[in-house]
Amino acid sequence: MIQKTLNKTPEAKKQEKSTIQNESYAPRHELSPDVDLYLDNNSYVLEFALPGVDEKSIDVSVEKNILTVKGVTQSSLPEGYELYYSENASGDYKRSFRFDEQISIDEISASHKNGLLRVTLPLKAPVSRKIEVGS
Amino acid sequence: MIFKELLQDMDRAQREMFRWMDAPLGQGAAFPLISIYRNEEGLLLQADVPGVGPEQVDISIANDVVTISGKVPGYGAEKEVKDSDQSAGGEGDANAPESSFSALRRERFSGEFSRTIELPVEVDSAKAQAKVKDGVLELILPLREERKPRKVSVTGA
Repeated sequence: MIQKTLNKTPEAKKQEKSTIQNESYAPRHELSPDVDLYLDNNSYVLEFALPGVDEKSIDVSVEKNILTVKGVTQSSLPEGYELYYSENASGDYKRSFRFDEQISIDEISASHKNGLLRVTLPLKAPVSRKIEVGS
Repeated sequence: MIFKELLQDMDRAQREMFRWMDAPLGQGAAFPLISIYRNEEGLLLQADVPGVGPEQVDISIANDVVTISGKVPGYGAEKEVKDSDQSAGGEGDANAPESSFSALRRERFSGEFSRTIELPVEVDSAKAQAKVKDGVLELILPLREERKPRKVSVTGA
C-alpha cells in the first residue's frame, strides 16, 4: 500500500532549534509546493516539487536569511481543448524558508531536473584556530 | 427535509463523478493527481509526477482503462537513509558508509505508485502518445474512429 510519509520525522522532532525553518506558505492565490528537507553530510538540501515549471521560469533568491523559491507554471490549459476533470490546482508556486547563521550563504546552489528543484545550503565549516599567548 | 434531499443530490453527483474514477481523494490521496481535457479528436490526460523522468513511468491501456505506474526516486537513490537513532551528520563507526544523509521533513510523495483511471470515452489505444516534461506526464488519447462525431450532409428531398 502506498502511504504518504508524515511531515516531521523523528530526527526533526529531536532537534531543539532548526537551522532551517519554514518561513511562509503561499497566499491563497498561489500554490505552495511540497518540499522535502534533508541533512546530507554538511549541507541541508531542500527539494521542491514544481511540476510543469520549466527551468527558466524558476526564481531562487536569498534575502538576509530567507530563501524564497518562485515558479511560474506554463498555462496548463492546452490549446484547443476543454477542461473535463481536474484534481490538481493550477497556478504559480511560491515558498520561503528561514535559515540561521550556520548556513554559508555564498555557497548556496540549486539544480533542477524533471520538475524537481534541489537547493543545497552548506553549513559553514567550524572555525578553529590556534591562539598564541602573548607575554 | 429539503436539506436531506440536497445531501442526496450531492451524494449522487459525487458518485456520478467517481463512477469512472478510482479511489476518491481524501483519505490516502491518489498519486499522481490528474486532469483530463477533451476535444473532438479525443482526450488529453495530464498527471503531475515531479521528480519522475520518462524512464520511471509506465502506461498501459486496456479496454479504455488507463493505468499509470512507476516509482518516484528517493533522495540520492544510491544512498541509504540513516537510522533514526544516529545523530544527524554524526561520525558513526569506521565501517559506516562515507556519505549518508537523514530526512528531516518529507512532504512529497515517494516510492512506487500505480493509479487506474477509467476513461469516459472509447479511445484508440494504438494511437496513444505520451511524453514527460518537467515532471508532468501528458497522455494523448485519440477517440476510436467510430466514436468521433460525424457530419451528416443534408440533401433536398
